[in-house]
Amino acid sequence: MGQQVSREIDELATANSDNTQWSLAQADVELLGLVDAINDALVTDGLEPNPVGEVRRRFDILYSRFNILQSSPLFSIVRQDPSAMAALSRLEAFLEDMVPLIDAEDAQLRAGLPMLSARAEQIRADVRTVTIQGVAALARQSDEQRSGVASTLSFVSRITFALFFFMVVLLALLAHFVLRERTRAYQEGQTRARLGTIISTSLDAIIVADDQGRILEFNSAAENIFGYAREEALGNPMDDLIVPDHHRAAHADGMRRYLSTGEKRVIDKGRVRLEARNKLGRVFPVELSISSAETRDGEVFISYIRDISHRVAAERELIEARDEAVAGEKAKADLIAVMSHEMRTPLNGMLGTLDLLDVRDRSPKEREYLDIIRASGRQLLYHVDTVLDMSRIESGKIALNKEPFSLDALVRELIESQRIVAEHRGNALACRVMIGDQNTVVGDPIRIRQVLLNLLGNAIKFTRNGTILVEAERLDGLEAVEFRVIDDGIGIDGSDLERIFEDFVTLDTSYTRAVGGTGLGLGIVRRLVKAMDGEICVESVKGKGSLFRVRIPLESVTAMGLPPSPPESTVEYSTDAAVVAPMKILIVEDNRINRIVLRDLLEQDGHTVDEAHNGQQGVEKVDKASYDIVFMDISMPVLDGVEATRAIRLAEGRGTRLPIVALTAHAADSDKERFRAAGLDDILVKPISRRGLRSMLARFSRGPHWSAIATPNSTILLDDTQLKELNSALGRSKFSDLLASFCNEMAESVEAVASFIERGEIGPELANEAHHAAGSAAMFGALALHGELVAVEDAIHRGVHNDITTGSRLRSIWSDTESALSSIKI
Amino acid sequence: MGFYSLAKPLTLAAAILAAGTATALEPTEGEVLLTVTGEIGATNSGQAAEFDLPLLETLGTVVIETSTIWTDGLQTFEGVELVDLLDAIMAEGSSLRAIAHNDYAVDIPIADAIEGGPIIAFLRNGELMGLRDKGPLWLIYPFDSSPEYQSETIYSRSIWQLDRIEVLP
Repeated sequence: MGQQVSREIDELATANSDNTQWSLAQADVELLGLVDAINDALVTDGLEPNPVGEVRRRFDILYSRFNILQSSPLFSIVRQDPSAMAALSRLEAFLEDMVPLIDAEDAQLRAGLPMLSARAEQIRADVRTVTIQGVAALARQSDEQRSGVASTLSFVSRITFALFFFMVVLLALLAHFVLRERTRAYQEGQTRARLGTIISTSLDAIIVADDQGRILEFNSAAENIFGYAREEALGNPMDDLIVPDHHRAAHADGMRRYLSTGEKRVIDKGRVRLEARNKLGRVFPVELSISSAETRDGEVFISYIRDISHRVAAERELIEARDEAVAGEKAKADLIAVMSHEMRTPLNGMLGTLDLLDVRDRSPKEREYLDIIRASGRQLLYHVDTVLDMSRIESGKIALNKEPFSLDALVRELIESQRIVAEHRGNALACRVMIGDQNTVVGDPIRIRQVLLNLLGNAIKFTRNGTILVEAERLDGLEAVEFRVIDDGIGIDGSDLERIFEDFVTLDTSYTRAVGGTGLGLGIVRRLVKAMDGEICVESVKGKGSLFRVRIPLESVTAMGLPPSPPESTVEYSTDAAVVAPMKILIVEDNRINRIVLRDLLEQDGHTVDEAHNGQQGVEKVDKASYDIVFMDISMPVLDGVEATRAIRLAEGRGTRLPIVALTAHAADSDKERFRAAGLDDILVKPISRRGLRSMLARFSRGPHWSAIATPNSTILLDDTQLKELNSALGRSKFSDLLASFCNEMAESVEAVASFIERGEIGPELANEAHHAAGSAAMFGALALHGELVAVEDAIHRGVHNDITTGSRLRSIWSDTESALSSIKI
Repeated sequence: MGFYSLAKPLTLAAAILAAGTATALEPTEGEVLLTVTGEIGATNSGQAAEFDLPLLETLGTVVIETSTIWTDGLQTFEGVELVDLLDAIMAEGSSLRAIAHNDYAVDIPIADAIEGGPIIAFLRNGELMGLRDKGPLWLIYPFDSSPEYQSETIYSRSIWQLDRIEVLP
């Protein structure tokens, strides 16, 4: 295309013709010139010196013109026209024909002039034809040339337009790219500025280093933390500046390892706690995170470093504070344990001594004072016990028993024990046990009783002249029993409901003071219930009353597939205890007051008492003399109670067992196990009361282990408590049935035993009969009868001859007992 | 295309001599081929300078090889450079009016007369040119040497059957 255009341009720039049409037309003119010259020569014939010279000249000029038409490339287009070509041939013929004449002598030429003139006239038409055809042909050529140029030009213009459009598009693209580049540059600038701001305002030190460890970037936080100016740091090795001497080798190793193996231990591993060093050489803990990035100049490492000196110091302080707190807590617990012991011991002495005073000898005024002293002492003891309980539960020392017991008996006994207190405040107590045939359950009766006693005690305290109801109900489908203590007392404000289970909370201080309380009761209840996997809640309306609801998981014995066992008699809480036959008793106790109290209490009941001041003395006494029972204090100098007991048991012969009862201020369940393992038979919890002491002695005097000297005139025929317990455990109808059959069987047994004795048939049969009858009598609380039967059995075993009067005495005791039983109202 | 000078130094010498006398041009002996009139400083026939072939040859000749639009193929022309001729006659005008035997006339600017420019040829392909072959003198530009010589104006100035020149003021 470019070539074509340039050729076209060349053709226009270098003309390949002069005025062709003019040249063509000249042929006509020059022929006319010749004709004119011939005519002139003919007219001036002879007058002019050489009239034919002009003819020759004109001929030559015409000839020259013909040559041009014939040979010039300019006229090739004319020559292509057939008629023009024919005319040219005729013109050539004319010229060639005339050349000899023209080139001849003047005279000859002159003679030939007429002929020349005639031929010239003839040829004029042909010359005309050449001219006309030539002009037409040239015009056509010119047209073609022009249209060629026009089409070329239009093509060029199209190309130009296309080029222009292309250029515009290119320009637009270029502008777009320029704009985009500018935007990108702007954004990049922004990003860089932002990044710069982030780095410079970062609270963490940011240090960028290359793979040789040389610092490339060091922000202002880094300047603050490490004390180096940025200019100082840049280009220097990082480990010289901030890595402590003792970490330097490890750091270098780490870098080498990473660079050679690519193994990352710190890099990209999140926060790492290390140590760093500042310009002054201080080494401090830092939190560090390193990441790596590829750049044009190789790999770089970006470290974010935070000075955590303060945090570490704070953590240390926190740990110390916690340690101190734990130590304090332990000290407190220890103090409470010691205190309780130290407080309970003198209290025991005080209360025990009070018991010794025979109030009958006192004036009414003195009796009142003594009552006040006793009540205050007990209140104090109660508080001490509460705090002790609290600390024991708190320290997790509480261990729960799992033993079968009668729910019904527990509730009823509880009610009975509080009845007098309640009546004192004009309150009526009632209970409802809805447990169907699942009366015997497995759990910790002591703890459940403690919970209920606390709630009941509160109810009594905050109710006056009202009714308090204790309910127990087995929840359908659940191995749980719900206890409810309902009163119509003063109630609790709604806003206080949550608070009451907290420790040391007493809602109304003036009122609390009036009724007494540490504010720990419900806190203990809450803990105990929780320890038993139970839950407690309260509903109350101020002025209307309260309902405490305790749910405790308790499996029934029938559900466990065990035979129901008879409920244990709760020694501590039995209301009355009979005075047993005189016994020889050893007291092993280091505390003088306790010894005095104990001795006096026992001697008042007719027992013989011996003393030992520590465990070692106790062991020696047992070795030398024989005793019916030993009361053994646990914590003593030289040899403590547990060790002493163990020593006694070791020395004991086969078949004999001396009853040893532990004396202790408090006994945790784990202690009980320990005591039993050592050979202690039971535990008497201080303070020692006359009642508790009697119950304990009654228990062991009843036992088959040793001989008891029957009291012939034992006035106590029946143990009401025993009967009541039996009644509540069995149910009224069952109890009456059993009582009836007991009466029948016992009548026969007594008659049989009496007959044996009277007939003098002293042997195993009598012993068997007496033993069997004694068991039954004990079960129904027939104490006198029981004592007599045991004496019979014992006498047989010892080979002592029974007095013949024994039979009649047995009959008379039975008769009294039977009448007492029939008259009893359960 | 080539140029070569034959007797240029002599021509110059003659021209210098003629400048002083105003009639330094040699008289002609043969047939006069070219008559120059007008603003000229050297004459040999009254107010005119006339040239026959020998006199022209004394001005020194050059050869031009070129094609023309009127001839077929490459042609060799030999003749006197126009500038030399004008120098010889001490022409003082701005343009020339060249007139042919066939009464064709054309004006040529003096500026055209330069060295390496047009010549007044009398030999074509080594032969003298007759009146029938556009002779005896033909003003030839070196058409092939430059596109500038390939325009219609130049073609119209390339006058054949050159007979006489008037130097116009």
